[in-house]
Amino acid sequence: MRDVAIIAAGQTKFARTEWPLIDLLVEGARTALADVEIDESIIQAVVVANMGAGILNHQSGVASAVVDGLGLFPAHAELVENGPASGASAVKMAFLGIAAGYYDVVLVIGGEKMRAVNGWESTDFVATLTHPFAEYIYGVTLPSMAGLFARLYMEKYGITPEHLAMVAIKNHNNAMFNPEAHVQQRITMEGILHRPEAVVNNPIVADPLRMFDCCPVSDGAAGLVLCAAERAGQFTDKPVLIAGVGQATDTHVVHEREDPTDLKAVTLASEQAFKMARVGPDQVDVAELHDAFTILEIAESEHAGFFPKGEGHKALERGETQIGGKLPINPSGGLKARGHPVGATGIAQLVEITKQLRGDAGQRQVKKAKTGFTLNFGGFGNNVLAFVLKKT
Amino acid sequence: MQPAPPAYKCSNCGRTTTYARLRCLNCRGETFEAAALPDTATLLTLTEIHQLPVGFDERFLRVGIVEFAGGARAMGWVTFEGAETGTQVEVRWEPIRDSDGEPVYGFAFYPEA
Ligand SMILES: [Zn+2]
Repeated sequence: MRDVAIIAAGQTKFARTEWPLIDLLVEGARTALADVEIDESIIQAVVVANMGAGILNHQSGVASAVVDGLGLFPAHAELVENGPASGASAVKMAFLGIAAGYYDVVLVIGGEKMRAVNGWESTDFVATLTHPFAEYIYGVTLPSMAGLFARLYMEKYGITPEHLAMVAIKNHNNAMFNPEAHVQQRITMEGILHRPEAVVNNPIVADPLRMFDCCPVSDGAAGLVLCAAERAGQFTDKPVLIAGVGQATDTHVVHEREDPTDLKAVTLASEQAFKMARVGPDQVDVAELHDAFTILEIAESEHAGFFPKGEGHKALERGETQIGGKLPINPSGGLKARGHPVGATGIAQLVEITKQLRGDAGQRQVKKAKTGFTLNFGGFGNNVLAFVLKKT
Repeated sequence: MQPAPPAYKCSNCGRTTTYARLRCLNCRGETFEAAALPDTATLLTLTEIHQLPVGFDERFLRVGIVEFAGGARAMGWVTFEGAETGTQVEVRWEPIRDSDGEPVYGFAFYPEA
């Protein structure tokens, strides 16, 4: 297997956009292509990540349309739909093609135009990934799946609403230094939890989770150019190595898991990525985790191996996961504040780690970052991908 | 008479689910027999959903997951206030909503008599 490197990375600003889906994806690709000097005719394939074009935008054949929008004929083109893990899955498919020696240079682009529909419809769109007869018929939403999980996890480990708010406050603070983030708003514990008006400013979405425990609904796109590591030096002096890739699946129906607080697929995917990269979680300098809900950042930080079970919220409390701490988590603002256009997210996480390892992250730069980690969480934990990236 | 709640027991290993499957999650067995669920169960977790998807007019919905003696689990609507993890509930299988004028059956959890 050949080594594979990231030679370019970029994303659009995550927000609400008027752009049609394909233009949004093309713009995401352009931000990545603008990051490297490359003759675009050497791009052999375009892998596109998108979860909802059929439901949200009434469009199919998305990957072919993106190649057309970019004028990259006759490049190969495929769409990867893997729920909220579509982005990382698309990167994995591109990685495999290059590692196998079939391709040398591949463009990966992920995006979602979720604000094409109203809030009730986008909530329903995401809920379609739940089990149709055992879960969906009851009106469950992804925030409610997280609410069911959060109640158990918080009771088991003594996590309080204040701990959840600490995740939100940290990630909102980080996003203040990320011009591409959807939400740029400082929040305080007082304002979102303790003042009387908090019940209005931060209403219950699915108890115990409140609005500021949930990611926003965003439009946006993110892209990467992947290249055989042996050729990466032709294009950049700062290639970032994809050192480890892991993935694992779990039951569709969440309550079929023996212990519903155990995110087994997170553990397995992370272990696989670490093993392949020949590093341990203790060697990671910066991580982007899938904090679609604040509770998930805490739970994933434990299941990925950074902290023992039940200790993640204590590390958070000690400030270890802030920029400047022992293991900064979500310096980009995470899904919580950067936003979560589902097809883009897994790629945006890798864009952030690429910038961090190159030393290009501006005011949110994690000092001396050499090894980075990403975790993209699909379904409610039924399909999870992890990556380990290394500075070269 | 209400219909009995569905329960499918794997003929090979005995694992029971409350929705139909073609293959057992535990042993990949492909034959199932109808099983009877107890009338009561224990609430494992619950949430009150205040931002509902399109198609629901309720102001909020309470959804929970219960575990029956023997280990089978089910999601359903928690119909009463004050439930918490560990609460014993009475389980019914009843029309919970309409789809094109046809009733959709689901689990609903009531206070234990
Ligand atoms: Zn079985």
